[in-house]
Amino acid sequence: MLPSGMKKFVDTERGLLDRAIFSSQELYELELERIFGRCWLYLGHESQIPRPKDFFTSYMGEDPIIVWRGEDGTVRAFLNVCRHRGNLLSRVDGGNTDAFMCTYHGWTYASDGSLISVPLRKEGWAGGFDLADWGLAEVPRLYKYKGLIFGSMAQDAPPFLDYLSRQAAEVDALVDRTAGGTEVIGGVHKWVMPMNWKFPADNFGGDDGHHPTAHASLRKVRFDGRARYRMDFGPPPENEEVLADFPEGPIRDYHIEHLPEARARLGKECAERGTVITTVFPNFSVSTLRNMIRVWHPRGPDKTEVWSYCVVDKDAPPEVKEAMRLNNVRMFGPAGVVEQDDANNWLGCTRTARGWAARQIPMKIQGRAEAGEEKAGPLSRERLRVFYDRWATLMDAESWAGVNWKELPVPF
Amino acid sequence: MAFLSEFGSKSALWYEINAFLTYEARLLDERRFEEWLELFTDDARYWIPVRGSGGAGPAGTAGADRAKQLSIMDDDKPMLEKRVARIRSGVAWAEEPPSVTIHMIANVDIGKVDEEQREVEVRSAIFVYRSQLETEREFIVGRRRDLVVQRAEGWRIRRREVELADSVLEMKNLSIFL
Repeated sequence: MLPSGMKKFVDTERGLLDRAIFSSQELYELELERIFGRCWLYLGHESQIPRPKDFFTSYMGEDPIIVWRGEDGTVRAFLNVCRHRGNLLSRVDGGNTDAFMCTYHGWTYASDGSLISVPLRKEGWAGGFDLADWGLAEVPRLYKYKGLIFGSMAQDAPPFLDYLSRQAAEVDALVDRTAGGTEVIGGVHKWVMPMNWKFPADNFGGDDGHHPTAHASLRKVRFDGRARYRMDFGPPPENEEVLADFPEGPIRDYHIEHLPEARARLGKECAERGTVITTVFPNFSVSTLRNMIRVWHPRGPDKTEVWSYCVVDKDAPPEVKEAMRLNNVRMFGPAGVVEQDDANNWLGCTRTARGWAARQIPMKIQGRAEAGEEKAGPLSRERLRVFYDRWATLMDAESWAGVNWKELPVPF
Repeated sequence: MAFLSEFGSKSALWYEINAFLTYEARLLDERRFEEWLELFTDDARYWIPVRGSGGAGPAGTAGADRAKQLSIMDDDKPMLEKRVARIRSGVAWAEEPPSVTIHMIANVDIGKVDEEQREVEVRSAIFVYRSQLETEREFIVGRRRDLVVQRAEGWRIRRREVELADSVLEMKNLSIFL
């Protein structure tokens, strides 16, 4: 059921990918329109804007965004672009403000997006000019999912819950374990990696098989005490000690103590899943083990700006939050001992996608025809095939109207 | 004899500390990590905070409060030792082949001196050039705030804090020490 055009780049039957999708500027520009201009993208966490007039800045694809809680408490997202000549309105990470004033000509906007002041209007603008026509460009769709704020530039995007589908269970394993909900702590790691965004996105989305090789150093040096150190992230074996994946000490003790509540909220299977690493297409990833969420912002076919956050239960005791914070930053982030070793691999894959000769031969992922009826095992790269199936489907469609989202396979 | 007066003059103290930091930089550039680790006290803390791009930041962004800062690195000595062991394992791909680094320390400035503890606050600027693979290269620039202590065996680092100049890091990873 793959549409015709992108079939030459993505063959899900045989599991073949054309390297052009990782290097072509033309395909990248099309991604900005058809993937990032259309899908539900993560903007930030509600805990970053708790009070009226709080705001933070973010990105949707390459578009800078302001997420702003109005005086009435309503959260809205706008393009961080002055409607006059397009200057960046906010040049900071966040804060609290009544209004944004553009530092070029002083155009000023209120938190509902309306343009409330244009200096030198009488002197500078002949004829009719109605401020009401020139308010901030608003992100048409927003959805707050258990503290996570998502947005879509497509008015006709499917309802968020349909879009998230069964992956909700994976996201809930991090953000819905307790009634108190979650919060972001400590700020955002931001760094730029020289690779195509799809490598880290598909890696977090289901490439369990890379662990023994890419992260081999973690078996030579044990950074966190875990009852069992496993390489795959499928459901844990039947007779295993519960939540054995989590680091021993405050983190695991906390999760075990709150397991009854988590089971009641999520069901036994989801609550006891242990490690979940997943990507909500296209570029939002979650790791329960490291209390981590992140976004892979595209910056060109060979560049990705990574934003990484630490998300913890709001009501967790301070020493547990501290243990989770250290677990997050020591294992992941720019200096993370797990994360460091992925960089050269993704960089290598991106680099070789430029050469003409390499582009004559395909990249290999698990094909549907080879897997056949066999159910994907825990190390299966079936999820990669689902990722690229979605990519090709969206790239080929003129609009959401041409995409039967509900019929597309879910990553698990 | 009082600690400070042992040096005869403040410039003599400055010279010793400058020489110490230069020696530390050479250990890092020569990848003599085990000797480098010995320069840290057992209770040492090594901290590289995240820097926002200005403004108050969104809620949940703690500036100077270390306990709430996400941090790029926030290590105690055992964690630093494990990082070194990882690099020596031969399968830490981030450093295979190894980065070449040139650590340049400048603007060394002596702050408060604690005579009793024999501790000295030292500020400096750090400029690290790192080159790896064919064309992976970057400058990593920041300000250090160290607390060094003079022991019988020599100067030791009790606290290292590096405030990077950049808010968004332009590097694939930070697999080196600053």
